[in-house]
Amino acid sequence: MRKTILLLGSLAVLFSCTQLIEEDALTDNAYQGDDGCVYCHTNSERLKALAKAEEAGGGDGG
Amino acid sequence: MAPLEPWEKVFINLGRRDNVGEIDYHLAEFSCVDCHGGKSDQFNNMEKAHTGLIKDPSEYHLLDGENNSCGGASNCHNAIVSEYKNSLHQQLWGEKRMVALRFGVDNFEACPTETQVGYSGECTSCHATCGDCHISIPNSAGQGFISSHRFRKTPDQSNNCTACHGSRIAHDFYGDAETGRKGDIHFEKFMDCLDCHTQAEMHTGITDTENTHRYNYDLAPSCTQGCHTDSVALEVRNIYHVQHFADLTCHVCHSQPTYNNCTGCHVKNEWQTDPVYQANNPVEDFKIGLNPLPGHSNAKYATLRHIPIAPDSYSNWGPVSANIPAYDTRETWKFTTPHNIRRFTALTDTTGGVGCMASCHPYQGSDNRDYFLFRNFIQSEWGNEVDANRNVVVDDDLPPLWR
Repeated sequence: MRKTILLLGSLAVLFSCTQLIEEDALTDNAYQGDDGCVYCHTNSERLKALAKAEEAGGGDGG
Repeated sequence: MAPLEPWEKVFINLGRRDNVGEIDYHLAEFSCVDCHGGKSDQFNNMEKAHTGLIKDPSEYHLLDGENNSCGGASNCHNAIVSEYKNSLHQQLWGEKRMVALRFGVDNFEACPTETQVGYSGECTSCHATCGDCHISIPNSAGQGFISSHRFRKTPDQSNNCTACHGSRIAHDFYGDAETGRKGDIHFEKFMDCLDCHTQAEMHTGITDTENTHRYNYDLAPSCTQGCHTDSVALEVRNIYHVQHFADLTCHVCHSQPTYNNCTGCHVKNEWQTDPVYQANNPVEDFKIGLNPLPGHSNAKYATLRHIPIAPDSYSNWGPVSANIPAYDTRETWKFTTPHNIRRFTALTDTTGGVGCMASCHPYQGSDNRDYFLFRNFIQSEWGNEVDANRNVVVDDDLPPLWR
């Protein structure tokens, strides 16, 4: 029983850590290449600063 | 569906990946500018970087009208790009056909130039590009990557299909737990759009462009196509089928009357300032009328929906389009196939041991008459549409005692 709890606990900690890494990576720009498009479009903070509100359709047709 | 924030629409989430090539094969083989244009060497100047940007490279008219980036330049998907160019989703043949018929001509190209320009400016925004189904939320539904610009072979039902087909499909198909509205039984059985609407139906080009629309189309799905073909023939499954199978479409009995019609959304949105329109148009219903599409179904009766078109609907396209010349020749209550099917509906309810005829047959004085399309009902609500619907009202086709 203890082994099971320990195993499940370890998995939960491991999963939480990967989620934290994922969330952290959202704002990091991991891209190191020379393509300006990818440089901006993979960085959420940069996009938030630059992307303007735009008029787009609302769906719900048909 | 709720629109994404502007930045979310174009955000590619690398996560723990090192480069975009790990997200998708296409992104490894091609650079962004190969398809989208723009200037990839402008790191710190958004305007310059977006010079010559092609937002949706799968849009045919942005190249030469015959090709798009999925086929032409890259020479990868040429066959399907060539085929899809003439498909229903790309060309909206059905819409064009109805515009032509209401102008008294046989094909869209014979309509006045002003009308063609007006139509192209307003109505064609709903056509679907390759990217609308395989990469992003469709252009006409607000746009935005579904999964970081991954090319998805199979479209996503909620982000692609019902992002556009929202009012009359999504609300009916999914149901609504808050209001207690039941969804379609096929949805509850974990079927999705593509279980019935095949890849071929989506992609195949139309050759008979003057006579094809989404119902008059041999690739359209049918209830007996692979399903509902049990050992006991559907025609003799029960006494109701024995009696009605030849005369009624499946939807007449098995669609829930809480159908979300066109008005359900239009009244709430752009036409909400028109008190006359609001007062005259119920948001939920269909009517049972005479089948206007004998080429699609042999049934005599079918479910019909009221479409929002008036004699002056195209008046903002200019004086030639101000009054639709052949308005009275085409019904404004059109064939419909509500996506809210159940075995037991208000019309097939046999609770208490009564036959379902008690729930459906339109005897004189019965509330069931509300299910059927009568001339007086149209006259009372939309007097200028009586002539247009003379071929679909049931007044002269009911048994004498019910008239």
